[in-house]
Amino acid sequence: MIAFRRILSIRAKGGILSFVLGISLVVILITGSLILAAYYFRALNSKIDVEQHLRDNVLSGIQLLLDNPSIDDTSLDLFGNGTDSVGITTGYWGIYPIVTVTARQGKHAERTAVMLGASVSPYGRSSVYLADENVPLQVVGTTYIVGDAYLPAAGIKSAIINNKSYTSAKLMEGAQNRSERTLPELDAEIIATILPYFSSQMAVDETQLPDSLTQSFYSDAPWVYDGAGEVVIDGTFKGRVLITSQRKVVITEQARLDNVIVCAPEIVIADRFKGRLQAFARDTLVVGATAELLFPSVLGVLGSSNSYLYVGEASVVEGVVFNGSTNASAPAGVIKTGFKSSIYGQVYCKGLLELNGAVSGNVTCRKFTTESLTGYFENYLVDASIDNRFINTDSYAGSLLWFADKNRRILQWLK
Amino acid sequence: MAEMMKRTKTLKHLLDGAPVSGSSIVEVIVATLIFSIVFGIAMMIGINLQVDRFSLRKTLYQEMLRKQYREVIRSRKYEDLTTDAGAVKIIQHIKPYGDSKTLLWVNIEAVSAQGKVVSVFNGLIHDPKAN
Repeated sequence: MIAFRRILSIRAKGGILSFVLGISLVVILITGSLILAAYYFRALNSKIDVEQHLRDNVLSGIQLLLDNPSIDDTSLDLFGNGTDSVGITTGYWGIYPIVTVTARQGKHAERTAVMLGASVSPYGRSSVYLADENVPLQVVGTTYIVGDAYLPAAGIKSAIINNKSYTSAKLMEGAQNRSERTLPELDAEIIATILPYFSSQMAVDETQLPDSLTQSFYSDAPWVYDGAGEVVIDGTFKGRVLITSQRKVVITEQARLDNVIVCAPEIVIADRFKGRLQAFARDTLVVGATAELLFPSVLGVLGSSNSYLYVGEASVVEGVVFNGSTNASAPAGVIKTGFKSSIYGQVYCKGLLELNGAVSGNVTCRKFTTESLTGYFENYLVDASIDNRFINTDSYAGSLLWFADKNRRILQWLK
Repeated sequence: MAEMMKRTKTLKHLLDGAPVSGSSIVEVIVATLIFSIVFGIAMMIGINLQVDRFSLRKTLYQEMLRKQYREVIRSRKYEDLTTDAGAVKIIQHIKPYGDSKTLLWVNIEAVSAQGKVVSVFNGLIHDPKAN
């Protein structure tokens, strides 16, 4: 008690005031920063909440679009409460529709771009759709067909070429259905979006092809390069980039392409190239050996009389390969695939298809051909493999060009 | 005893309205300032904590509802449902969106024990096999 009184009786010196002020300042700084941190945390939390809400609305917008693909550029309030507005813009990138959905709330906005494909109709889910020209499909060697097929009325038979006979006990695994005399036409509306790429009247962004370029799919327009002569691509190009030539495009092994469109009368893709692109040629498209085209790549030839598409030996193509035109009377083109080549997806040939490799998906063609030392054979398949299990699923998204049904699926999320 | 007498004398001196010395006024002002600032800061921290707790809870409920939405997509069970999630009930309504038969409007609410809607989630699901 006495000690306490002694403490009470102590008189502080005048200098204690500055000491007290110093301590107070430190306390205020600490507590002030605590408040500031709490404020920023709350602001950040609120921002994350809003962004998450907008992301939810973007996904709902995409669901809406998958349900109703015919929606044009529009803006709507999703749930009618004034806080869920989304804007939708649509267009095509090559053969695929691309859609950008933007959700807004105040000054916040969130957007996503997707590339859409279509679920495949029952015809398209088959292994083979061969036009009925009164010639049976004849299988030779180790040919292997898995999945229901649409074949000519003459059906499927085994045959012998150069003393090579069919090795399997069953001609195919799956049901045989009757095909029509003609193939389905390619979707004219989609082909019409590709044809302008071949004209030399596009607005061009550069006169010289740069070493590398990335163009976002959120940008209003594609970046375009149009060369008058031969164009050699050996750089890195990503996104909404369109490279055309009035003569020829060569894509080297060094080129790094991602979602780029290449368009020319003649296109050559070098051996060992690896990338994702849509290549459209008017006359000739050649893919070298052991190239790898990633999903959803497209190789398309839009038919002149001698149009030719070749997939090199041991090359892999994931996506769509077609040779045809919208003109029903146009002369037939040719697709040839090299030995050990693999195509995962869909193949369409309005003319003749020489299949020497494997297709995991669907083949739709007018005629198969094969060449041997003893001659040229129509509707013969020698040591080829066609297996539809890859695309005969609910989740597969394919091309809208042929055998597409109305349901849309997301092929790819774009940046 | 002498000390006590001295203190009483000082107190009486103050109560009588005698002028205080300059240093005492500075002490009073400083003490008042410090008290006000510390009190103010304490109040602000308290309010902030309350708000943070509220917004954290809201975020938690939102995530809970979002999880439920993902579960609807995964399970493809399109039915109205009420589940108990501790402090709140989660009520799920699913109905066709507009005229579509393959586009569903999923509305999920978190409702407190007092019947107050504390969080709402709206989302769409496109399922070609919905019907």
